[in-house]
Amino acid sequence: MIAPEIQEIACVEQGNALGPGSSVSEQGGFPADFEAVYAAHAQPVYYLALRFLGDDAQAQDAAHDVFVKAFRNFESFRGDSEIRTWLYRITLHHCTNLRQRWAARNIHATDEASILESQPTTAGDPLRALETKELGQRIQNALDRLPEEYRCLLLLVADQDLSYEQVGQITQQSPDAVRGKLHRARKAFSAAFAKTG
Amino acid sequence: MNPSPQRLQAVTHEHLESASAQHTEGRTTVDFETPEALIAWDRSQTPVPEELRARVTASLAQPAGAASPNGDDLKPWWRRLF
Repeated sequence: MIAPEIQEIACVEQGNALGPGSSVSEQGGFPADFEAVYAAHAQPVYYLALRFLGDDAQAQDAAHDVFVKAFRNFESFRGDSEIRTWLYRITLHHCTNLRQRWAARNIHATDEASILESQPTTAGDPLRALETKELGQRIQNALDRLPEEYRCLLLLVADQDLSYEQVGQITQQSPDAVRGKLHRARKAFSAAFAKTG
Repeated sequence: MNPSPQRLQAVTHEHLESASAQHTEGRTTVDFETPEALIAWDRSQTPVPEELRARVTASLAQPAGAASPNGDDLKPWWRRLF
């Protein structure tokens, strides 16, 4: 269901211009303006890729590619949407392409044991870390049972900084359509989540 | 965001402002109002791997079109397929 803005993504795919303030800092880090972008958006982009793809290594690769593409094409960011919305659009487009390539090659999703193994967790209390890991796996399993459209909507709406209008912009539909589908997505997720318990 | 009629229960050590919680033997059973509240909590517990930042930095230091640091571009096409 992801209908990316082809023109915008095409700019991202083909462009090679560095973004504003493009010189790499002397320490070899990001340019100052992109530092702020990465700091503010790395976690949501990585999490979206993680739960969309269901694999930590693949999610890291996807998030890496998204930030490299975004930075190299920062000039194509028109500023008529939030940077978060722009990055989400690139992320969903990239992840959808990856999944389609896997499907074309008959690559199957990772089994549950390897998903659990690959779940990133917070450091600290081991019991809490294990619980977080297990809950993360349940959420992943429930999301995996949903149609792609529902999975996307729930992952986007979970970002409380986004309005229905912004979710609609990302997924190319009206806010009313988002509301209607979200209702069904919630019911589908609740049913799928109950089965994972 | 409208709450779902179906609440989702999860056991966690975390206390959440947006969820009602029951405490039993050091654990907390949390009722999440909506699936997205549960997912938002999961997101808050999922750190970004430290190495990601270093990988992005290394790639940005390369000129556009250069081989990626994970070496994928160096493999022959038939190895990238499998």
